[in-house]
Amino acid sequence: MTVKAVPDLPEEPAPGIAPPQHRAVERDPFEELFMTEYGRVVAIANRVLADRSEAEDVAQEVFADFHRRHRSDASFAGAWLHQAAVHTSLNRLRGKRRREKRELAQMLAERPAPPDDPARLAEIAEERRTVRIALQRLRPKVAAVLVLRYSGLSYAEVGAALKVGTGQVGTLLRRAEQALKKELEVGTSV
Amino acid sequence: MYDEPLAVPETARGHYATCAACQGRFTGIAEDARQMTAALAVPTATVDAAAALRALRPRLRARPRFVLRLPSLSGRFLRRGALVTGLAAVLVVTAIVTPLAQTIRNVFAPTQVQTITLTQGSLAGFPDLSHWGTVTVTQQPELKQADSAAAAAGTTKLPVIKPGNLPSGLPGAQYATLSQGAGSFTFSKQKADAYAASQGARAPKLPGNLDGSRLDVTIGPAEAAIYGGDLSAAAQQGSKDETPSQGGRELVPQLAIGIAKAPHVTSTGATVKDIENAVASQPGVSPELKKAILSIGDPSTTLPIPVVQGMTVSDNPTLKDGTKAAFVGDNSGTLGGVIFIRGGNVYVVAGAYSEKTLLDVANSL
Repeated sequence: MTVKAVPDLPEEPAPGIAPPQHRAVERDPFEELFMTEYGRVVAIANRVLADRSEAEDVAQEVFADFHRRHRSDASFAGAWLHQAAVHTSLNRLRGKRRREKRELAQMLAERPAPPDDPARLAEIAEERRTVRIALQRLRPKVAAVLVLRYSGLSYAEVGAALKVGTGQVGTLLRRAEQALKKELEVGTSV
Repeated sequence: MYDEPLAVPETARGHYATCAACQGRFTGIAEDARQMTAALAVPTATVDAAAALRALRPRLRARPRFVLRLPSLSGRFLRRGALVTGLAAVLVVTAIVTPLAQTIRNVFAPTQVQTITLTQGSLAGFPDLSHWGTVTVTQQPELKQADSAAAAAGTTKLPVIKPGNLPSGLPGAQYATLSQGAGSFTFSKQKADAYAASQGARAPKLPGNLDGSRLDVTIGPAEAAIYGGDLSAAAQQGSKDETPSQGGRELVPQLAIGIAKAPHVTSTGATVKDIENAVASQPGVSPELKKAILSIGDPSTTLPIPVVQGMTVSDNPTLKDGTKAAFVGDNSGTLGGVIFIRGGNVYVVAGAYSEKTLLDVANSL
């Protein structure tokens, strides 16, 4: 993409030609939103799915949905995208049967562990599978608060995405942590 | 204190330094957080946003905009004959999908709503009504903008849309009316037989009085208050082949409140049993769809709301005045609509809000 520098001083319009009403070229609001939020939406989806490729699929779906429904400069754009990323990812998680196999394959490709340690890789895959199953069991809002917070969103951003006050996020997060911990204990004791 | 220590006031820090209970609690919270961090750890997803946007662009152009958008009711839409499809859909909902009561010969007048859940497959597999007969538009509805809620009500003779409770931050409303529309469906045994043959199925046995029997359907008038979105731009887009992303300009409302006179159906001959038999015997109607049809409680007074599996449905939320409503939301949990019937009119409150917020608006109408 070629970017032209905007001169400091306005140019004199050519004689007989009306000066343009807006000198600066406006960036497409959707592009701006996409470039700002895409990485974060993928990160949220990846946190749920533990699968970068599928997380990018989710992000594409979420942005396409948003584009169909809302203004790109809507004040709630970020919160909408974050929430939709969590819900769409959780829905996908629930529908997947082949996750374990794919996770192991992904692990082999991405994990910095030595390739001659298949036992450790299998152990990590099992841990992730257990966490994903536990996430599925949580109520959507409980899972969402965990995923959003541990994806790096601030309390204010988590609150906006879940439509709760910022002051409530800490309590919700604490309860969500306890709930996931409990589910993990149940999962590992079976 | 653990998550955002800098936000903790000095007095609290002073207390913490000397309180064993608080220190113990902090340790527990910190340990939980460490466990969660480890449990939820995933490989970092590095992305190329520019490439991802390039990949997404074609989808943005190809996909239709949200179904609630107003251009679907624009003049161009009507002229292009899509109204036939719309009326066919109304017929499906009110006369075919609904196993109408034994009073079908006289009138179908729904007084309550009920969701029926279907899969995408069963919806996609539902035959076009034109395979079974002839759909005719006898009165084309006309979409117009109105200056105010009172003006819209004056045109449609419906109650004034005057919500007492709206979500904060909404822009002012724009109003629109849709005049009454009417159409008919005349059953043709010849067409049904030909369609069955084309599907490799044997022509179903049908009651003799069904052939040539006509269903007359009246829809509307209707009125709507649209909050957010650009009604004039929406209408304009309906008359041009623009892509939906024009500069990010928004055509979809944040909230829409609609009131329509409940659809009305009369029949010249077919009984409910005739129609049920006809539907059940047609190729393309899945067992699941038949089951859904039969699951409707009181078909003479029930307007079924077909819902695709996977969407969020809330069973029978009740308004403050005791009216039974239905809530239907998308699978992301961010968009939904409350539908109910009151005084012979169908009410819809839809938008990017939670069920509770939409119900609050509905309760204030």
